[in-house]
Amino acid sequence: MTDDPRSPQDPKGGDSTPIRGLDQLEGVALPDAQGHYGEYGGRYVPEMLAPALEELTEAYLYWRGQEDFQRDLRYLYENYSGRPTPLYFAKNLSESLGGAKIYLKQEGLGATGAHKINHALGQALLAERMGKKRIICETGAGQHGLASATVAARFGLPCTVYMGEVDVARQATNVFWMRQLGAKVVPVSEGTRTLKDAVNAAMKDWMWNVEETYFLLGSALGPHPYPMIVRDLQSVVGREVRLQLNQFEGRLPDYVVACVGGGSNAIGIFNEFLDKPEVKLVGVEAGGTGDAPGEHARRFLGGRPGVVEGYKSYFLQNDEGQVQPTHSISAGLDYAGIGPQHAWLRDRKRVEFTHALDHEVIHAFQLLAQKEGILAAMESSHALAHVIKLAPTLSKDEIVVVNLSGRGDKDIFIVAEYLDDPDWKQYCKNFAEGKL
Amino acid sequence: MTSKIQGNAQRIDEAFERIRKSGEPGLMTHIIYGYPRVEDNEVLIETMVEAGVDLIEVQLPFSDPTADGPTITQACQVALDNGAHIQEGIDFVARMTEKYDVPILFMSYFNIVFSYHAPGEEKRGVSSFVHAAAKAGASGLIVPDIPPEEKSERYPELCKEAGLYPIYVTSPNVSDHRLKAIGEVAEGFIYCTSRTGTTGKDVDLDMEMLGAFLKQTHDVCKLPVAVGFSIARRDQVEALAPHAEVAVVGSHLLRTFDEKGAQGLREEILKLKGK
Repeated sequence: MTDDPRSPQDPKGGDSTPIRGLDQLEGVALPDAQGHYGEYGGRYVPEMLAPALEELTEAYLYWRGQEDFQRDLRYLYENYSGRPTPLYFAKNLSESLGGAKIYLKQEGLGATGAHKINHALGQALLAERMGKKRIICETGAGQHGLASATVAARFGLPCTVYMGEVDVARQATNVFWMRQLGAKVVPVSEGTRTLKDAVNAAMKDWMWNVEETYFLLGSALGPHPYPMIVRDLQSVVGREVRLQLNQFEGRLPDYVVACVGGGSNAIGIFNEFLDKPEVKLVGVEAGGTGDAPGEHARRFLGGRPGVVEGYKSYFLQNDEGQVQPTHSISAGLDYAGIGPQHAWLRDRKRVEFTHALDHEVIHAFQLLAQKEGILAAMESSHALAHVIKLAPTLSKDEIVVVNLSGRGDKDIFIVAEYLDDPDWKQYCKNFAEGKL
Repeated sequence: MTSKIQGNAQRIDEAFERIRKSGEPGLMTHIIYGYPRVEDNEVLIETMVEAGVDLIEVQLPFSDPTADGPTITQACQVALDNGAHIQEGIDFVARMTEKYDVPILFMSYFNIVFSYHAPGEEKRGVSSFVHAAAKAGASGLIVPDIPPEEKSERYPELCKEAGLYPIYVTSPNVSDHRLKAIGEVAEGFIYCTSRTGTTGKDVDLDMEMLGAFLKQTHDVCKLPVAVGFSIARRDQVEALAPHAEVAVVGSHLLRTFDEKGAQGLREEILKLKGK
């Protein structure tokens, strides 16, 4: 290492500390044995789930250290999903914003179009090693359900996807694809009929079928060990970014920006940089349409610590502790809780959290499409929306990496609806009336 | 069995003493504050007390009741939609414990306990909730999602300091080390589920498996047990009698009241008691 680790004249020496693989995570301090990240996390579940979570913790800690498990996972990442995903220098976007160099981590180019495939493949492999006969999962936007249905097909396991009725209605395309992949999609009619109710329904299914079933949880949240498992399996994203950026620039990024719903893509790209304080980490929550309850999913604005769905973290809840409805243009960020490690990182000021409003998100989506020819998911467009504000305030030799956690194809209905596109509406009408 | 706690918890000890002397299995029933309507709650308690139930759980509704099946989950949603508030539920229990001697336990989820603050006070948390619950005359708390290993919450300690029994829920798939950990913190009695899964589904009890589990629970925890989940008929209560001190009937009586009103509820309780 040189004195100035960011010296562009020293492309090889800028970033030379070793990169940890899945097998080298033992030394990572968090979480403790009971799954705590400081005061957050833990395992607050009905007793009948405790044995299954203990079994899962033990199995995971064993298998993540096994060479054959890592080899099989690497094979699937590289050949099934298409890893490593590219890190792309968005030259046009950077120049048009007139500030920092913007790099895009193109997770949307992997199988199923979003980063969810990373933890789905890892967990399916774990389910197979544990001898489980069935996969269940929850989904909000349907991306995690799609990834779970995909890996269930690949591993030959029956799959039941729980999805709130509201989400089933607004994400019909993903529901259709999940069923084509052979999964059973169960609409959940309880509560707010969205993601949190789907999580509850999946947990209840698990209570009934705890012996044979693997609950493939879709974000870095829920009871221990899920936040740890999902983080570890997603951390491949940040490791690749570090290697790739070192090849392009010979140094670490100045900023890493990711959207945060439950927090799986964010912790995945942040994890590699957590112990490098010179890298600023920014999480972007769903600002929705405004600050009033029910208009957004900003857990760090209207939320406070609580214990819901098996873990302690920040939740949007009323004065009495009832979980509150949320809103976001992106179904994947439309969730009242946030992964416990994010709550801890926020309190420690290691990650700065901000938000993007629905209209800023649409603008970011359009700008990227027009400048770079890339259609980003609504979720990822939140991260972009923040970068549009951030980049012009930085100098031209500073580097911002954005996690483009998913591609936008799935959002065609949402974007067209928001833009009130007459041609698209006419097409939908004609299609429904059988006039095509 | 000796009472280790001074306060309302003694009502639970007294109830178990009466049950032991009667030679008949006891009955614990369940209501949800605010369901079907707030104004029905007092009739429900009155009917249950007059029909001779031994203990009553009052569930404070939560938006995300993870351990409950569809009947109670939907009932909680109805209660919340009816505008049921936690503080009102606590005040309601205060009136009921004043009026009746039956031990009343609060059942809820940990976020309700963790979020609670007394009117006009800012301090939230377990100590605020247990203080309010004890002041309302409750005898214990049943909170299914606070496991013994979350020690930093000091939940069992704070319950006991307030004169409340922390009632732990355990299930037939429990491991030896977990049952031991529960036995170390539990007081009053252990709430055993008759099977895995959520509340309210009509399935046959596997008495051989259940008998062994209840014996193990008695042996390890050295406390009486109450058995709930899928208990809806007198023959089940009788089958449980050699293995458990109390049968818990929740979802079934909730549906009975929905369908047949207070008189139907009374008859059904008497039937469950073999009268």
